[in-house]
Amino acid sequence: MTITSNIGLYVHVPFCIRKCRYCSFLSFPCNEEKLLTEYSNALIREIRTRYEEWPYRIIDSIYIGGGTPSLMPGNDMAKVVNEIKENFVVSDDCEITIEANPATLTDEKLRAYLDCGINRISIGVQAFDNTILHFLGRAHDKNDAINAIRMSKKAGFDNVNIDLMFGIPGQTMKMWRDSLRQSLFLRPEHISLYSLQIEEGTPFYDMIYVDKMVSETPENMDRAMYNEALMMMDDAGYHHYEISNAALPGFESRHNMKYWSYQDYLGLGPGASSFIGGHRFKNCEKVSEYLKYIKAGMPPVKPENVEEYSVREEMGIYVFTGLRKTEGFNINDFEKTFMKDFFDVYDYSILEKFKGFIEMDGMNLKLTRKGLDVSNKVMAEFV
Amino acid sequence: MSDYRKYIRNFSIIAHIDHGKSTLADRIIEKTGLVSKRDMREQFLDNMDLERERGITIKLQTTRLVFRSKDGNEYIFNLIDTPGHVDFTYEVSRSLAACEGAVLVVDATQGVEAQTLANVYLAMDEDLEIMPVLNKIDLPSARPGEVREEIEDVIGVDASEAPLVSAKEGIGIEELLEQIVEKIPAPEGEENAKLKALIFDSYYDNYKGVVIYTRIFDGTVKEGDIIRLMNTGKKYEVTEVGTYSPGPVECKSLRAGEVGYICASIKQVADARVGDTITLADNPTEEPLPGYKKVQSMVYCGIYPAEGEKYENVKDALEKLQVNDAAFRFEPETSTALGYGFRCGFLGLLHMEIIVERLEREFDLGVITTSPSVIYKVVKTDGTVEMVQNPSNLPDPMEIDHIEEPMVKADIMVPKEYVGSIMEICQDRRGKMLHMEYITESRVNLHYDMPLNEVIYDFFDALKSKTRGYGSLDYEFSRYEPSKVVKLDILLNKDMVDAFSMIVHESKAYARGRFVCEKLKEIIPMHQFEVPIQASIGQKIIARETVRAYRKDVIAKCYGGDISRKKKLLEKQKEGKKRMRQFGTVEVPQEAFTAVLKYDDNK
Repeated sequence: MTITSNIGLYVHVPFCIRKCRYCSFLSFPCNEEKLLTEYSNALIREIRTRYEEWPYRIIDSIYIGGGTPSLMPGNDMAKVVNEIKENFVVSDDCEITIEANPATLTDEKLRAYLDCGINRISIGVQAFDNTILHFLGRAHDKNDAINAIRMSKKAGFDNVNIDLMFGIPGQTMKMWRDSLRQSLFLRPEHISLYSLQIEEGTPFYDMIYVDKMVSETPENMDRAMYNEALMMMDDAGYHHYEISNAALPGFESRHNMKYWSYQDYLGLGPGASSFIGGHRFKNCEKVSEYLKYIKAGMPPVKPENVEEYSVREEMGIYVFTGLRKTEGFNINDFEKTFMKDFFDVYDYSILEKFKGFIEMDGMNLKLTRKGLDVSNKVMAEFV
Repeated sequence: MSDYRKYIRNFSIIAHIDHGKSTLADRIIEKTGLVSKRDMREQFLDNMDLERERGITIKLQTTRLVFRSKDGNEYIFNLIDTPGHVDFTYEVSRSLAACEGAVLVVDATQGVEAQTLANVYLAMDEDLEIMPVLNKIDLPSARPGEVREEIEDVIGVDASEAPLVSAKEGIGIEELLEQIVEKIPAPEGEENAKLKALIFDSYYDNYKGVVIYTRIFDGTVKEGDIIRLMNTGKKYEVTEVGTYSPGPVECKSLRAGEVGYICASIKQVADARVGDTITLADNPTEEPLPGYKKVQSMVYCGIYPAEGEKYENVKDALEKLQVNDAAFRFEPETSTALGYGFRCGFLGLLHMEIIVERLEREFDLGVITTSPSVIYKVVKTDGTVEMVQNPSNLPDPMEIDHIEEPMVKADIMVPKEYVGSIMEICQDRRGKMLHMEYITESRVNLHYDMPLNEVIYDFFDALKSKTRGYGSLDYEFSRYEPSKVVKLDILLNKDMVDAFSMIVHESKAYARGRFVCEKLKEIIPMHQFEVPIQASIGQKIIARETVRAYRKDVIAKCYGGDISRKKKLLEKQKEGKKRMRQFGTVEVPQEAFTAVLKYDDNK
């Protein structure tokens, strides 16, 4: 896996068929094609504005996430991608990913994606179990998910990711194993695994903590599920390269790795975050406000959404993001980035303090298998 | 009588908390034109932020006002404020001793409360003229007729002419002021007699030293006089005398009947004790004024610097607070769990809370407080007696013949529908009912004999909670009584944490032990290993809970590269860690120390 100093581009599409019950991300229900087309035009304008800010940077990964980007008509999406290519310098081997909800995929859309150069598709499966899907409030069922993966492969996608979720209230170990088996049988090139997080402000939060209708998955169950998945994926030849991600060799996501390797990325669309040229900022979250900025031809970033961190804080970010990779991060790279001795910044005793949770592997500092389960405890020490 | 005294009125306003004393004082000040409406802060006399927030008066304020009456004369009103809480009864009584009359404010919607009564009795003890006023008359729920009867029945003062006022709306204030002139007697005394003046409050000023609030009963005092404080015997030279209106205004002398301040380069508030008598060193009066007593701390607790806080900083702050608060005392002590800290004595639980809050707010210090304790009288087998207020200092059980605990007489006033639940919580706290009386058809005064230990724990919270805030409490120390109390220890991962130790009655030990273990289980985060929490009496374990070892702590998805969101989450986690206290291998959040003291409604 090579990591270049090229930038990754993130494009946010904050619309969904409906909001899932666990979702705390920036997305709104939308079923009007007209609005989606209008939104794609706004993105196009942002691309032009942004290019003027960051000219001549080579882009080697584009990630269109959401929300549900596959909700947008295929030709509108193609226009967005083409606009990126026309403005920025996009490398020939650029990884271009689009997130898709199984209920929204059609042959026509897949065709349009491939034609404009999208070469990776990430399908939000979550589970191959209708009870669980219904409980999550997903807009698709098990068969939709299987069809979506088959259709994508048939249309010509040779790099498919599926998202799976575990630790869902009511999900048994057997259900989880069945979902994993079904996944491995369909053999996507990449699998993302997420432990369900109950976020405040979601219907799930109220269901669990306020109305107490269902109870949270016990932690040992959650960890047993995680373990089970790692074992099954390992047996099937997948490489577990980051806390929540595994891939067949050579299919590790370049875009994902940028976040964890202190690489530059630029975010487009409301609420999208950027880390570029040493600056961290976030686009405004309100769609209406975002549109106002775009219409005025201005970058949609409010001054309060620019984060200024000290060098020491940036070091902390370097470490905690780096620790998400199973191979960890190279201490020499850290020292080259900050021109400071790692063990001057963080005392040696930290290795002793978290013995069994972090370790040195050559020049790399990484979490142990046990450390992955409690990564925040360790990471918090470095921020 | 000298002419000037005819135009002086010295009075206090007494009331139950929330009955509008401070608002009424504001109106009076405004009406007499001392402070323009524009400069008027809410509740002028409560000048500590804390007081304004809590709606109670902690520190006294005294103000000299000028009122032009309908009779054409100008009168000097000395309005002497009183602290509004049961912990400060002695200070209240000394303030009242400086007056000839008391304006009794009664909320026309609520009627007479326990503290109203307590304050009225104090005023009666000082032979004051009591002048009732009905406040909050603007509220639709006001029932002046009934409340008037209540005042006459319960207190036995004539309320037929009580002015109907609304301090909030400024209704009836003029009439109230005229009545003060009419009803409250002018001070007596002889300005050429030997000096006899009462200290009713004092505070520390960085430039002037201790500023004494005083009421002159006889004689005159002026700059240059050498005064003697009769109970401490110390002598000082007067550097300044004056009055407050409301800022200090220097004057030539203070004469019999007047109220004002004296500065005499006194270094500690504790040297100018409330209740002491001031006289002249070379021409002293024969008898000091009656009623002086040295205030006693009733409640003790340990105060320790929180993690990362310096011992010296806490010490400096405590010293500064003590300079201004004669009732607060402290001395160094050490705890195996918390290290170096201080044992502090307070008048009561509220006084303790106020000191702790001031440390945090005014000095920006993080402190940990241990379980409050009363003073136990330990009679040893060899016949000697030890006074113990720190559970860690309790002698070996083999050496103890018996232990006595302080008892109080508590008056609890509640609407009758709550009598049942109050009797329950009192019984639960080992209270013995002495008698019960109906003040009116709907209100009851319950007299209880109770251990102070139970009152300081969570009684006030329980009372308020069970009576929806309508219950009120007043108590005073009565005596020591033999009692079966034991020392309850808490062990974390098998190690005793002395800061959690407490002395409790045998009958309560199991319940308290269980409660503390359960609370700690909720608060102590999961560790990399199991943490047993145990409560024990001596070697015997009486309760146990276990904090499980943690297994999962990850944030799975990082949305759209939002590293800042994740960074903030991790920082929060780290912040939480900082406020932890390390005991051996176990980390305990600081809030644990207060949480184990809180009243639990579901209990």
